[in-house]
Amino acid sequence: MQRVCGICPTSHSTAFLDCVERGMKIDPAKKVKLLRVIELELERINSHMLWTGHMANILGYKMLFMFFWKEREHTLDVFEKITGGRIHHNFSKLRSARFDLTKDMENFMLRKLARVEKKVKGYLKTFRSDSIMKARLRGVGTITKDGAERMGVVGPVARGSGVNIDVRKHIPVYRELGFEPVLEKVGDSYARTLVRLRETLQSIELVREALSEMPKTRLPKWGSFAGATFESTGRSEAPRGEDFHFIKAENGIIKRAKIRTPTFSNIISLEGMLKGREIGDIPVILGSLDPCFACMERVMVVKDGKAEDMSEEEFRRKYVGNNIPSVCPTH
Amino acid sequence: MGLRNSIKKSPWVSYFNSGGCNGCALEVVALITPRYDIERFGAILKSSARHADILIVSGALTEQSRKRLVNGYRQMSPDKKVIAVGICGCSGGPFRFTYNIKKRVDEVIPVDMYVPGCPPRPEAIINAIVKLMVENDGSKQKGTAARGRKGK
Repeated sequence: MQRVCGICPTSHSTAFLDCVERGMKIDPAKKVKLLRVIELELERINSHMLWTGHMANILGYKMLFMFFWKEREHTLDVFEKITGGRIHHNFSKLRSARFDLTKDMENFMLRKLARVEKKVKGYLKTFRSDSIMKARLRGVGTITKDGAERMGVVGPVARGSGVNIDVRKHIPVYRELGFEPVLEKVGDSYARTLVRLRETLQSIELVREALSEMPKTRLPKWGSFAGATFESTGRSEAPRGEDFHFIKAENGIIKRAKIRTPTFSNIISLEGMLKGREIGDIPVILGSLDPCFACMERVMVVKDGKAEDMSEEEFRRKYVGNNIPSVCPTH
Repeated sequence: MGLRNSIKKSPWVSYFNSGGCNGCALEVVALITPRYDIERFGAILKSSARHADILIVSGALTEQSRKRLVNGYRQMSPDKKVIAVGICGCSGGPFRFTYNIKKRVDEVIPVDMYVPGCPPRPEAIINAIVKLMVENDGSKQKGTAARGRKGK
């Protein structure tokens, strides 16, 4: 499930596991949940720093772009130390995780995070004080709270407009860690930038708290998917917003899967944001939504302005062929 | 100076994502950032394939992106090299037999170097670029391409 996206692989695997565990009525141990929190938050730090660097590049700050990507390498080092992979981690398992954190890994993580935190705090100060940043970002691509709720945007885009929406606040283990969503009121590109930078710092705090609350028990055994029949949904908070999975399985074989990715919800608001702005603002506005185009590639057949409506059987006959296993298209 | 010399000394690199998950894209962009920095070898990432000597292709080559890949490849300079990055770019990977992937990258355009991995580390991609540089160097000595041939 990780190969859905290269920037937020863990969110997809966590949402998928949430879905399967709900369907099979498994409640993982607290230790496993905390390990997933750590992995998700590290991914958020990574993704937000990647995005802020990209945004700085759009604004013309090549140097800041390099700084952010340099610091991002440290979070990738942490991932490599823990899971063995820089981009795709494959850390979570059904009911468990692949392996436990050792003392060495924890110390390494804390050391690297302390460095990243110090640097991000400095960059946040730059974003707050730099007049050119403000001139380029303030009032650009504004979406009001009302508009954000109507469009159904998710993640940092919604939180930048003051909509208190976050999957994490509904998850018990996050509530125990004292999680509160980061909110900004204005709803322009500047607010979204600040939300992401503040969330980076918040995520570092969350990782530290999760590490301190980690029970000293052994990891439970991996579960098996064999023979499971269910129809269930699961979700997780990806760096870009809510990630939603629907799985229908029969006898341990997945018959139908639908993934609703956050960019798919966010990109709809682009039209309203672009109205009345100049051409030069387009990269900034599009960039501020943090679009992931791998997230947006969905199958939708449009003919003469009408979406083609067909059943699963018809779709398979027309596009898939008979000898290929049913890889389910979304939409 | 012929076109071959440009790959020998300072290859400009362009990147094409033919329907991948962004994982390889991140590692390719990481090439220009301070830790890896392919500008040490005289290489620059260019957004247009027309300016490039080496094309890096990642992704499983979806039906929609196939025409665009061939189109971009045709517009490159005559003496060009292609690197397939990632297991999807090399063979199709986990997406090989899915409904919208009919051909592999190397069935559509000639591929000179394969870099497997999911995703491969940036060092591996740098290694592929440097190997292409060495291959195009007349002296065939390892390492000379990176430093440049002395006395000429």
